[in-house]
Amino acid sequence: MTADAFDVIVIGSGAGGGTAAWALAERGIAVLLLEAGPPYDPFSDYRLDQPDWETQHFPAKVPTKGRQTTARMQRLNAKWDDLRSWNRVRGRYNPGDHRADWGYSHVVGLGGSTLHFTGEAHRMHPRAMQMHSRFGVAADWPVDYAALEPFYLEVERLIGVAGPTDDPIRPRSAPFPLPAHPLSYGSQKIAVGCQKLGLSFTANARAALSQPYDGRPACNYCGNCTRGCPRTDKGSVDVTFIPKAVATGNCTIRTEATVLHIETGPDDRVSGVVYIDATGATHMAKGDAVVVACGAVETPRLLLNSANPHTSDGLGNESGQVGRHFMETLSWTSSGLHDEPLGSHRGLPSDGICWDFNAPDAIPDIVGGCRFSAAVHEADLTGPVKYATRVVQGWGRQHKQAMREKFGRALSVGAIGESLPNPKSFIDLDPKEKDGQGQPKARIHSHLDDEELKRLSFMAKTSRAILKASGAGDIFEEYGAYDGFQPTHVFGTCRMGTNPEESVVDPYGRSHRWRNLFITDASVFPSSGGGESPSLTIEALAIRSARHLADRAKRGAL
Amino acid sequence: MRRRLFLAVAAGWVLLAQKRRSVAAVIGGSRSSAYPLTALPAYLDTIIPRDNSGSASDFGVDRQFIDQASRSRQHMRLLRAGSKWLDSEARKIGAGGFSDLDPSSREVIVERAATARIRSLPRVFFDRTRRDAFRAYYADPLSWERAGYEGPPQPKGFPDHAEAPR
Repeated sequence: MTADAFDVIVIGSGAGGGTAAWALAERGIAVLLLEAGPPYDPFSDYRLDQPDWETQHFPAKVPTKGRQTTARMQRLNAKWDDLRSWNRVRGRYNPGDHRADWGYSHVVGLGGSTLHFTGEAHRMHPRAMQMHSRFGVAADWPVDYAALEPFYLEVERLIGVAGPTDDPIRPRSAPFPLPAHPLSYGSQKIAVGCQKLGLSFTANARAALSQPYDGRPACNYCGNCTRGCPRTDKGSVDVTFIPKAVATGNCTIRTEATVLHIETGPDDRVSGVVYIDATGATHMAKGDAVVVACGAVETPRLLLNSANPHTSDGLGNESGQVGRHFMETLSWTSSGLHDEPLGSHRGLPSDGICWDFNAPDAIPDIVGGCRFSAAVHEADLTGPVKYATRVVQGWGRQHKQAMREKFGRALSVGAIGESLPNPKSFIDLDPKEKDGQGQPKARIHSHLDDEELKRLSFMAKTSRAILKASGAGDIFEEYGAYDGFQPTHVFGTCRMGTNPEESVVDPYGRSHRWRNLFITDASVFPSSGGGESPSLTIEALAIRSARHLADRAKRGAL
Repeated sequence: MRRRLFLAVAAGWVLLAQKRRSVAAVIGGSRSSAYPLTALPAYLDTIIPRDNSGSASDFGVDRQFIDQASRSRQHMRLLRAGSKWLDSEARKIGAGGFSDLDPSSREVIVERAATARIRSLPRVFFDRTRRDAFRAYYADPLSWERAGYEGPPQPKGFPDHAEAPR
């Protein structure tokens, strides 16, 4: 087995790991960045110029289906039938009587799931960071919005975020670096609909360039961020933090390098990692510190798989909290046909948003907020194949005629809400299923209780009302988290806090026991927020943690 | 992060998984393993007929079907079983086979398949072939102009996205 030595080893190259690697490297720290997946080339891998572009989704080089297992999902209850996923052409998407496992949606590759993210760049609602003290649920963040604000601004400037000038909820010390994108013609209809209902609908904060920036071109509104951006205007980690980290000369990247476990040493310190490369060869890397950023499903798995006689319940699991408090994506999307041609396939995904119910007490009689956004692109209604198979019923001449009449008229409203932790939602190691290296797979336990479903019901009813007011009340499809588990935002399984008995890491992401072990992904989130997309917060926290680590390293205090 | 797109994809996967089970059930005992696919072009042209734009077979959808099915024994069995059903329905009204019928008679039989009992052979055959036919036909740029689509998304994008469509 070969052994290299670095100052810091970072595991995972997504929003948390790629950002931490840059923040350490630019401080002169020698970083080894280990990524289980391969690199992607935006110019050759994302084939949005090809005739069959619509039948191809994100070109995953590493299949994610089956990387984790899922415990049996909850039985569906007739009282929530209004939340079943359905389509006018296809019928119910889940015809069964239990919630379906549609898989944890993520990307294994250099840049992680930012490769296929939409690129919303949201700051947390300040009051959504105090869920326990205000409402007795989840846990309070041990860092407040004011402490995060400088890091939010730094990330926005690094990746190039376009956003509106005013935000009464989230105070800003400086404007967004780029002006907001104009609303697409379709989203303008949703804005009118919201106005009729007395709701606001403003430009969304987006990690997509509204002007050329930092050597990257402006967005050309093709509408397919989730298939991978071939122009590099989307601020994914592979085109922002990682090239900046490499440019420092202090960051070594090894792709297709799967970490098997983290090694421990004396004095409550970790000493390095053992990983295998694409050929199956095993390597050891030594580091003065280790940063874990594999996401809220794989990070607890790695810690639990790193158990040894000195830490028999799993690394960093002295509190028994590793894997607990799993929070997922409570989502809903309704799609309807508008009366007039909109060309709604055009534009920037999720370009407009309604934050009116984002505060944790904004939904009447329900704890936890949500938001509503334009969602026709994320619903994948951007080309004729999807119209032919999901929007237009029938066949024959009537179908062809209807295609001509209806193409470009679809509007979708999507909602994402707070996901509160509960004892039935957690990650553990599957006692039977192992991966190709013989390591137990992560097993996901997910449960939506009635409080979650009440929030989801509000999200569904409001989405329908917005669509109707927008002139698209002819709803042809709806889907949501109630009858299908398929999260993209996952949180909370290595909670940060000040009390070592109730959390895994401290307010800087450092293990309470293992003083040179850090976590910089959304597993540290004490609560999910009221529908905010998490990447910007992950990146802000990662820079904050990395700077803290670097300062400690310079003081010899690791 | 990426969210709702995959919900739709997974939903399609669930439907497909259900249909796979249905396919095995409905064609499991049929003696159609070598039945000819002569009905297929006429059937697909009934699903997507020629008007002021081309039909399914004009765009080579029938050939794509056979190419794809040749890679999956179960898929090919479904096409053969469906073709056999189409011909048997045609013979009930005195024709030699489905392809010998006039367009309106073909439509009657296709409508029978489209409204057949869920998980019956004609319904499974219809649902699967309808979806696959539209997927192949509308992935062909020749179909886009008549449908009002000015793609693909790149390299031009849609810089006019904020304006009413022309």
